[in-house]
Amino acid sequence: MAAGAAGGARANAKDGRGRDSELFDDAFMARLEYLDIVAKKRFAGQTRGERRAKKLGAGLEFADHRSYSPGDDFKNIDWNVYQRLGRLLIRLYEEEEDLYVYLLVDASASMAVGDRLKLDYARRLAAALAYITLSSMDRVSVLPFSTSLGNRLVPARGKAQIFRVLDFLSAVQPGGQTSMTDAFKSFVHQTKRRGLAVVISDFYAQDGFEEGLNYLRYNRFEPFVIQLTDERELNPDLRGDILLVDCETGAQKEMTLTPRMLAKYREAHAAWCDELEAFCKKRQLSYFRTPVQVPFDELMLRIFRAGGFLA
Amino acid sequence: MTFAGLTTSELWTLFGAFGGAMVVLYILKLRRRRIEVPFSPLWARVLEEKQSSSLFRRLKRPFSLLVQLLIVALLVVALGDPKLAGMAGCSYEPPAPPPTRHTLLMIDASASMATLEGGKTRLAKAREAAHALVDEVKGNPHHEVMVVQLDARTRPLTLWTSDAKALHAAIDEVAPSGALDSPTDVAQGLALARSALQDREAGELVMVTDGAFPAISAADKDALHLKVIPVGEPTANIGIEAFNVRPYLDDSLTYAVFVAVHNASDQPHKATLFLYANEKGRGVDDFIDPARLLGSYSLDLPANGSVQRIIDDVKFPGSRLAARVAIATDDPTRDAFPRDDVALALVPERKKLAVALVTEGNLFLNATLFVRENVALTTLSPAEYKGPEGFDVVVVDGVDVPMTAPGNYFVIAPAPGGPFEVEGLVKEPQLARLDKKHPLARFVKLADLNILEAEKVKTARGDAVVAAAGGGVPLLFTRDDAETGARYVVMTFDVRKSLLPMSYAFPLLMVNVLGYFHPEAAGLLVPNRAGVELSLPMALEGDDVAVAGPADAPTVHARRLGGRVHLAADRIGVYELSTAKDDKRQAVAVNLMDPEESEVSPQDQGAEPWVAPPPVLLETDPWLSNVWRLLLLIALGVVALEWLTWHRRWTL
Repeated sequence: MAAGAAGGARANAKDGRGRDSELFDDAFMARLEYLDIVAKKRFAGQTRGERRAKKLGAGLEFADHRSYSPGDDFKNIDWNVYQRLGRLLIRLYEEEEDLYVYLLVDASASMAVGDRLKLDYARRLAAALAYITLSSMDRVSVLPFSTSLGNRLVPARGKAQIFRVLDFLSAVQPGGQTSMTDAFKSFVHQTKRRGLAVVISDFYAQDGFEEGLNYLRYNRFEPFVIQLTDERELNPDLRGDILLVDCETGAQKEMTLTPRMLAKYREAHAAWCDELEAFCKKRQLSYFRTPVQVPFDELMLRIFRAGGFLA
Repeated sequence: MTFAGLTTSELWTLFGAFGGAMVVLYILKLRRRRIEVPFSPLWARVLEEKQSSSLFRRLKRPFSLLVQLLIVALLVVALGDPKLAGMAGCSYEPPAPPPTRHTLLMIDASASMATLEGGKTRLAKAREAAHALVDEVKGNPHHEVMVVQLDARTRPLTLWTSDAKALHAAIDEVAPSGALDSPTDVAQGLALARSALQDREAGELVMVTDGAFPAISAADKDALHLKVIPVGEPTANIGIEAFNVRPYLDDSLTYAVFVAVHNASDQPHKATLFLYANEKGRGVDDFIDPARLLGSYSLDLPANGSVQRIIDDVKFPGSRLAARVAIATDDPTRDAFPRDDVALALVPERKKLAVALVTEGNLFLNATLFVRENVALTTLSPAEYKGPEGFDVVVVDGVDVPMTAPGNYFVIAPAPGGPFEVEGLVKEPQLARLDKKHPLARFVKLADLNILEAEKVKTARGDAVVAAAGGGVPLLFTRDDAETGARYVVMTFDVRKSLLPMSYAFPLLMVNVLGYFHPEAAGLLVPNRAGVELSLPMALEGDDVAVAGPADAPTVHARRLGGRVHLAADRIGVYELSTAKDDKRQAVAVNLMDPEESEVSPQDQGAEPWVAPPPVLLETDPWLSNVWRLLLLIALGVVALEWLTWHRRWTL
């Protein structure tokens, strides 16, 4: 049914919304339905909302006590405790909220080197994650970033919102340098609702990734790191005298490539990736690394198997 | 260090040019391919590690340029052929080369070299011997050879050279179409050898020949250090050594043929002489045809001797006659040299003369002219005579007819009133003077004529008196009237009033008169020999002379100088000369007829045989005596090193 709805919406989107029909074609929508079914089977019977924000408020479930402060509502004073201990304590209840999933999609120039394979992959992956989130009746927001945070898709809820997500992702254009620090600083300042911050990027950030991810952590977002790599970047078919130009900064470096230097480059790239992975593991952040040559639905299954995304 | 090749300034120029080009190419090589990468800091890590490793790594790019400049420098210095006096081996002074030996290789290509022996001509054997000689001396760079073709016109085919390839090619060029039909002009060959060997150290003349030429003097042998490589084996041969044809003196249409045949073998042989005629024939094959046979005549040839034969009353059409001699069919002896078996003769074509006898009646004149085979006689009375048109000669016998029209007139006892002024009669004139050199007096003795009377004709200026009586009274004289074009022979007495008709002189005088008006009818043959420069009277108009010869003869070039034409033909046959301005053709017969050439059995010239010189062992040059070789090796090594390191990216 969702597939049918998706197909009909897609037909409408073709008429006027400018959605990328090649990126989000019918086959892609069918894969989303498939992933949704797989996700439901996988997590059936498990407790939902492990990652729900523990906001104390007007809920039904007792959570804790705290000392009375002037101005507190008298109705929340636990008189039984006062009778036994002679202290005024306020009852605290856990307030249940919807989960907010923020999809931070890297739209810097490095994601579009060559044939935009990484950017397309990131957009598909974001669309799939958004679909799963929306089908779980959670809220999803998409935020492309590069040098700074770009326009965002305000948090949406309900499965029908997937088309807004697709349209928004279709409109994302690459460009600019990757600056996670600035972008994530803006993100945490602009976002009041905490939630799952899924960072989809190649992490080719001139200023590093640590500070940006820490911003998320320190502001009680839960970073979910997905690093995209391209096999062609790891094994460039280059030889001889070349002039390397950084696609984001325009910095140029002359060099003569030899097989030995290429091996060194691969080692440096692996070290870079290992640094990111070690950073995430050390801070208990979910981390996935995948080449864009792997189909995105396989990555989704890996994410489901590993757990930690929605379940 | 000194440079034996280029000068120092030239070397610097070369180095500047090539080194500059190398630097330009090196700079061009540094224009790099632009590659866009997503994250340059990763590459920066690689570069930092690479660049900071060692000083050599920082310097290896300019080092690569320096290596290439070093290669250029090595090559340029090698071009200079440097000599290092102090370096081991480099002070090598090669020993003085042995004296250059000069061998004048003279290959006989005369007619006798066409003798067939064992399926090969002697010329082919001579070429093989010459090739072998060149092969034996080619290992010595100080042995120079000149190849010369020896025949009637000796000609050098190479300069002095030790290039074996050129020498072999020249040997193959010796009479490429076979031996010529010309005799050996050994004197000319020896003169060329003297000139070529003059002031040449260790010079020698080597003749590859069958020796069919006159003996060489001992002085020449010694002076030229003559060596002979003999070719040929003793063999039998007969040949025509003389062939002549002449018409009879009475101007008849028959000829007398003179033939001399030589037998150059130790055995007597029977032979047959064949005569052929072909008025359009040029080559031998054009004549040797049974259909053109005039007659055959048996000859008995003594051993090593000759037979001369005169054949009378030979009649044939046209003007071209050929004689061929062959050993009789019942004699098993084979004639090894067929080229001298044929001789050609060219005789002036003879025709009947149209003669008009204008007379009142003269039996003597009538009978004398009537019996001539070459005379078509028409006897006319003065009334019937209309003029000289249609007649070659008009005989006017004492009658008064017009004689001013252009023509040939034989006037006997001229009548008054004609072109001759008669002053009276002279009784019983006695011959006092006879110009024996005049054509009219040829073979004629005008004695005891007992002339009864003669007319006293007044001679004019330009008249040639052949016979005169006392007092200068002309008896026989000639006159050429340039104004009218009339030619006259005048006899001032009536033959019937003398004993002239009774003497042998009368018919001879008539022949001489007719021959005076038509001298071609009395032509004699002059034999022309192949291979020699001929200088012949040219009867045609025009300077561009074309020559058409026998089909197997090479092209003959003729040049006209004044009234003569010069040409030389190497093949026997009849050659026709023509010009663009003249419709007529002039024929020339060329024959071999050389007794020396017909002696085809090898003649011992008494010279030493040629012996191959011992091989010359040159002292080998120490390899290191040429520094340029060493420099080239070093440059090669550096190139290999550069190539190796470049492909391993060590020097990048």
